[in-house]
Amino acid sequence: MTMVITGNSTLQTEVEDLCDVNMDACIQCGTCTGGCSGIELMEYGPRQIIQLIKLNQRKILLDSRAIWMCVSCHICEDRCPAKIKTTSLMDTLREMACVESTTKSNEQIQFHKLYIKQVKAFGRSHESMLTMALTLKGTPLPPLKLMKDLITRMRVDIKPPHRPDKSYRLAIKRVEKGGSKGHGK
Amino acid sequence: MLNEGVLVIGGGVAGMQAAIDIAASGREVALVDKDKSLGGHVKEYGALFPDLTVGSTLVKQKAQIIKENSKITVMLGTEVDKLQQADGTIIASFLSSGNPKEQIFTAAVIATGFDNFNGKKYGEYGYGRYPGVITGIDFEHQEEAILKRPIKTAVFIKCVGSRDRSKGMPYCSKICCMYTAKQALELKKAQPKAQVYVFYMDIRSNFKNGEEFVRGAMENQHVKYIRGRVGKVIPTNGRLLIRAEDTLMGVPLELEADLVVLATAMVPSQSTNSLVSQVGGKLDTNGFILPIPMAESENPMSLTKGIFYAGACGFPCDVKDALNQGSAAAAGVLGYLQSNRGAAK
Amino acid sequence: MASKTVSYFPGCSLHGLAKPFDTSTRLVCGKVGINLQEPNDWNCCGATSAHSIDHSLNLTLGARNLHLVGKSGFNTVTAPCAACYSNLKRSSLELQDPQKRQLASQLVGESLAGVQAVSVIHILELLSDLSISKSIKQSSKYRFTDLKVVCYYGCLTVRPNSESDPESDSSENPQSMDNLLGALGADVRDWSHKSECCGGSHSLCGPDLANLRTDEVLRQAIASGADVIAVACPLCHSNLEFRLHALQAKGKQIPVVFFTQLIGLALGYTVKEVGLHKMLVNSFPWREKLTLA
Repeated sequence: MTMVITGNSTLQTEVEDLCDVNMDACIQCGTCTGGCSGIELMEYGPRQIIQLIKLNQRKILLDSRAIWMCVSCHICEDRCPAKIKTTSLMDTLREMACVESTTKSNEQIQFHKLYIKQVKAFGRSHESMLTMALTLKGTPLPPLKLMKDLITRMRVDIKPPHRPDKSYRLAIKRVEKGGSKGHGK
Repeated sequence: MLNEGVLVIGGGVAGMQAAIDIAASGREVALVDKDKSLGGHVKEYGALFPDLTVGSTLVKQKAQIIKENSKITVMLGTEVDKLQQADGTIIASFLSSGNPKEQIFTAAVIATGFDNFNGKKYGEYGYGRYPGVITGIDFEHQEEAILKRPIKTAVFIKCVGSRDRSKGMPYCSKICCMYTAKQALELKKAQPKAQVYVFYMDIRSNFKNGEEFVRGAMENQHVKYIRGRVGKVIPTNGRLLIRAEDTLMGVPLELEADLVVLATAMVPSQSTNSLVSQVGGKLDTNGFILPIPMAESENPMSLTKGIFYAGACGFPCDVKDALNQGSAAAAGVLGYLQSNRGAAK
Repeated sequence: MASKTVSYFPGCSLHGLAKPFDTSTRLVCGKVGINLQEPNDWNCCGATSAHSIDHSLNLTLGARNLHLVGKSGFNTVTAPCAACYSNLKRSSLELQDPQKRQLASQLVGESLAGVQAVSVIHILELLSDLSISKSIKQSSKYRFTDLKVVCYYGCLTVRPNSESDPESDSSENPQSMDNLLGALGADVRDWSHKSECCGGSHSLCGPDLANLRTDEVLRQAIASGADVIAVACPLCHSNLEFRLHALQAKGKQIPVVFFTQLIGLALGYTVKEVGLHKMLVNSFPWREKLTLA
């Protein structure tokens, strides 16, 4: 397969502005991929993702499974000899993908959207309600035995959800109007 | 008695060479080392690339020359506490078994060498925690025992403490590519059935015959080079599981080894800083001696008036280079004394 | 013992499945004279969903929390949840930038003056403070005997690592929990996966990946000879517990407990008081492992 590099490479500067990372500091050593917690299910490791950005491969990147298999563990970033903030980079790519990728939904996007919906409404997440909401969207229920053991051990939250102050609700309204600006400066 | 003599601080190979060359002109030399014997790090090294001269053999040869030259006074177990310039002379105060002593010299060579990077700073490699993980320096110190121990698979990890900004070590330590190739080659020679892998980011063999040396390890001894920096070492089933990416294949890779050798970097010696700053010299951002720009000094090893330096206190270098610098510094000292203080008496 | 009040950010998990982490943390802190004060109306820290796909939301959530901490007169907030700790710390690092602060201020609707001065520490850091760890030891009623423990910090308890001291390697080989439990007599085992990831952020939306990681962590913990895995993160906790539960028929069952529960036991609280009976693997001879100090 030939990868075609088109002339106007805007992707790198775009991503760099959003997450305050200098992709050209990368020395392609592979430390990130070698220690990556999601690598088994990624078609491109973090090192290759950085290279794909440099090669302006927007579609490949934003449609990739890899960006959703990153578990945000910060291990790659912590070990990176070039001090590249890979975790912020992954966040940035995911946010970009939500806007412009042809991957409209997957397990992770669905989960994040449900979670955010709940946090916006209650200010906090509520485990039992989140589990129910996920089940309604088709995620299998946790095993019955597990639920039974958790209930008998009084581990399941049965309190009603938190009711945030007005200041919180107003802040959320402003966020919803404002849109995101990435992790950079 | 040594008032017209030259002080050489550091009895490693650079300092020994400087002392030998200065004394050959008939000048008195005081060669000082904080250790109990001459030879610095090299006395404990096995074979050295490219010609596989044994480190201790080299040190013995230099020490013999020094012993036979009555112009050289060796002061062991001695530290230079203060170094000052006054009226064209250099005043040094020594600490030897706690007793301070002052002495005047005409010129000095700083050859304070280097320290070894502490491999424990890479927790993910488990040095000091997992048996079987050693540094390249340990390999040199225990070469005989290591080569005898039956090894199915050995893994060398390069750039441990080199080119790593997160560890505050942005520079390339220069010699690790070569000593790793040398160790891998020695291991293969001793145990031809062992599988030997070298994980590398780049192969920097820019020494005389360096390229041929590394190619020899690959082509003749079949050491396998894999491009990728290891992510983690995990003790598994009594062995060491290596996790890395083969960056040329673009795939994560795992392999089990019995021996993991970390090619640790050379770092600035603790003692360099205080000596250099006392005589108005400067260190670079990495803590090595900052050279005077080439076009501004008469001798490449000159630091300040009457003071020169040589060896790894300037920057990581191989043994051959350290010897060259020792000779260069000696030439600088002799030139300086000739033009400033007249010929040797 | 001088008492001291500390701002405490429990996070959502400690009100749910990880309630025993909250309970035992409060008991331990209470015993050594630390009052924990929750910021009024704190909100979710944003991990993992908000920082993954909605950065302005994440910034707003983080900034509001740090603002609430500062407003109640504190310049440090301690979080027991590793994900909260890590994400709040990220927000705090981000808010050092005046432009980011200005943007966050518009979104939160407050001036946010002084928010950059609020530092975020994990509960392990708080309890490892020299005087506090000393008083834990002095207040302990029991010592652990023959209790083989591995300390599992997880990935986010120690990251992002802003450690400026190049001598330390606090993220790959952390020591704080080892030291705390070791001082109470526990036989703390060194192992390779102290700060590897359990895959917790994917436990609800990518279990295949999460299982790969938890299986590895459990395998290494058991291979180290441990009887107990002590954790400092609610996500590691539920993730490991659930995986063990799923493997019940096949694998060795090993209690996964919060390190504060163990400290609580040593301080003289009962198994029930520290909530060890609520753990999924809850049949363990805790009493046999304690001798009077």
